[in-house]
Amino acid sequence: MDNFYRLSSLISTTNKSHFEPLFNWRSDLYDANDNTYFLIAKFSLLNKLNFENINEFFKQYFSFDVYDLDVEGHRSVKYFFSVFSQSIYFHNDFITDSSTLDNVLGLKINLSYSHTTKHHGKSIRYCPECIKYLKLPETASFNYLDRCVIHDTKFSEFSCNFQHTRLRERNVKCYENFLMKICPTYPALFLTKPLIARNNNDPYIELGKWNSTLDNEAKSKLGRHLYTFKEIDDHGSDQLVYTLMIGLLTPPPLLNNYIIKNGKSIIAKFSSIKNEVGLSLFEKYKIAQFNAIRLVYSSFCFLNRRDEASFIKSILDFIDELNLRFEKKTNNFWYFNERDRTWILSDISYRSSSQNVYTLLINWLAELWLPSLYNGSSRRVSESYFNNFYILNHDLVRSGTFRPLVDDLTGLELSFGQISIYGSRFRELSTPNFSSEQMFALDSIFDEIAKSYISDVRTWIDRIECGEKPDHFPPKSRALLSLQKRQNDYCLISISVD
Amino acid sequence: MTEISRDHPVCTQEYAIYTPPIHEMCETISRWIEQRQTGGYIYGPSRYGKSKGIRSFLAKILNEKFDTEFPLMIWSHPTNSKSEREFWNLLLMASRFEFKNPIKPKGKIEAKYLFKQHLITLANRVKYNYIVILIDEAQLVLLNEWHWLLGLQNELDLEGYRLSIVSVGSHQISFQPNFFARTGDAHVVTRFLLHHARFHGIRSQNELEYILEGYDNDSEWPDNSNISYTKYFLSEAFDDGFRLADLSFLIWNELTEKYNLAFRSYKPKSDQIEIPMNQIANLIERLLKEMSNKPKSEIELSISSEYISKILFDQNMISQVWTTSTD
Repeated sequence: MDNFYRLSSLISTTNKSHFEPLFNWRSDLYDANDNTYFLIAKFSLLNKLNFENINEFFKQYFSFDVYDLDVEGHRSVKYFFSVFSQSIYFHNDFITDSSTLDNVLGLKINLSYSHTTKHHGKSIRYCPECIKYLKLPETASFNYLDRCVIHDTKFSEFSCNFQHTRLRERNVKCYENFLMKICPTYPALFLTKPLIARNNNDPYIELGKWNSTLDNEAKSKLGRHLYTFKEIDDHGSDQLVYTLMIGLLTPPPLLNNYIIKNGKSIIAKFSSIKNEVGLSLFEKYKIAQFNAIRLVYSSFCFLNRRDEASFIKSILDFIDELNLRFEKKTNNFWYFNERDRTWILSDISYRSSSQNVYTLLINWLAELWLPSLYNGSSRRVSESYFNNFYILNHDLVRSGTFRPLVDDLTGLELSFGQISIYGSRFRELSTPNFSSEQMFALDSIFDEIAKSYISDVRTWIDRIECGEKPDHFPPKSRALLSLQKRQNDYCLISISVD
Repeated sequence: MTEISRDHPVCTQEYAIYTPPIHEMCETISRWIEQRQTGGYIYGPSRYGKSKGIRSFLAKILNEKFDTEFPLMIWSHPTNSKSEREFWNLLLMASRFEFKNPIKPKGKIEAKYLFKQHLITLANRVKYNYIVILIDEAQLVLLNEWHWLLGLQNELDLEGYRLSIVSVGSHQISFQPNFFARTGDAHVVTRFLLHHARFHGIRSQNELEYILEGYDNDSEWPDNSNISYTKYFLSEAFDDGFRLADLSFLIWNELTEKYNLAFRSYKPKSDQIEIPMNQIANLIERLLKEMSNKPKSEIELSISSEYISKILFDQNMISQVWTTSTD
């Protein structure tokens, strides 16, 4: 709030209990919990200002762009209006950047005030009761809320046509349009009775407290994100992200009524790994090594520890299951043509031009877990796959956690020629330096991951066998597996949405 | 010898001395406000000190009386506006509204809207629902303009704010109520021109003495210097006990003599005498400047009835009194 000194000097120089009315404003229009852009929109309409006027005016007091406020900007603008409304400014718990839940399980849940209060889409959420008082609570822009915390009313949506508004002006202009449409008589004829006293509104206080602790709660419960072994499909969908957030960072019971409900429940499974084991395993790992470990380690296990590594056993068992299912099937075979990515239903069990859905899945599992069994659809595809396998091995060797079995893998950098001579066939390239305890830890991690993949495939193939047409490949991931560093241990967190 | 600054208010004539007629006018306006009257007018001959009194003292007095920054806007009507758009823009320009632009006047509707919101802002910031617009030179306000103001008053009424228009003007304004009432615009009269009061000139030696004490004691320049106007100009004499108030008898006699000379065939009674404030102010200003830095003895020798008489003659007082008597 380095700009506050300008206002402070204004206060001291006027030395009056009231400010000169340099612009049109009414103290009734100010509410400390109003969306800041909505406050600016009210100010702008009352003074008939355009984009340049508004920015020019606020530049007298602040150095930031009023159309794109950061947390400090929000606080400063609210303080400005509180001063000119002769209201006491109180620190708002919602205006915080601490709830940028970035990288919680690898997902970006941005709950920062400056992000959520911006006009992002085509609609503005508002409380039909609050707007009668010309208030647009900032909580309406918190998408994980379903109802107004003050009135217990479901939020309504206002669709705004922002196409003709310049991108820079959109944050304020859309709120102006909203105000003019919803309250055509603005600023006249609105109710000025005070809203329900906030001090007595427990959910509101609870929300404030919860909001300000989200970051810490996320850290203590989930730890620091290291790597996502398996992403969840549709993870970009806001609804899913908020479902995850609410499911993992339990809101206070008083807020249950106000939180979005989309009928989905979260199943979370935490697999702990001892701190010292995790530290020795992942200390030297960066993203490249994490990317490599599944394929290279499972390849090693398949060739050398097939009976000990339970995840290899699970995959092989499942491959057998797929083969068995195919054997039992007598008609209606789904085939996938990789070239034009189309699905064909056929009565015959073999078509040379396409892969049937069982073969497709077995190849896919081999591609993910068993490189020695991988058979690409063409020489070029196989070459590309094994070249990548070579690079992954090199990454792990470079980290010191794997030992090279071939001489040319020892160099720090790889040349293009070095990779291409590797060809289109499988060769064991490195072997891990792990202790039995470390291997046990990795086995348990990959066991979870393998089970998740198998579950996804099984759900998918079950539906197809029930008569559903396959419309995508590979099967959609229905669980998220993330490796986290917590205070006292490492943990693989598996989240599935039901 | 102290050099007299050309920036001194007496030299620039940018000052006002609180006078009994100003006090009376402010009291009248305060009474109308307390009674929540929708309007009223104050009339008096020109150059009697109405405008200066309004600009310098009215706001302060109302603020003290109502213990807040009273929602008052003072507008000196410049000339007859040709259109409603010009009228609202003139009012907007007279306000402290930051977003006015004289180069690009607003449209009629927008200017009226902004002005109305500005009045509401004035009232709202002190939690009042009452606003006063004081129109100086109100004799120039035309019937159309009264109608526009009436419309504004109605709109504000609907929003829960009461607007009162206090008009201050020369004698012509007192003809307007009669004229409007007889030409079908009695509603304008009942709204804005029903209550009225006269702004007097200086009517007694006591009042004059009060004014001269203003120069001696109740004035100050530079700010916070504790130096009155008399002390600034006549520093040495002031320290020796010289006060302008002591000249009140001498000056009043000369003023009444000149006043009576304006009416050759008719001698006004003593309670009918009203001296224009500008004559007194100009006399004192010239006296202060001519006697500046002189010792008390020299000043007392110089200031005689002839000296005062000559200044009043130079100021053309007789002519002014005769002219304003027809107001």
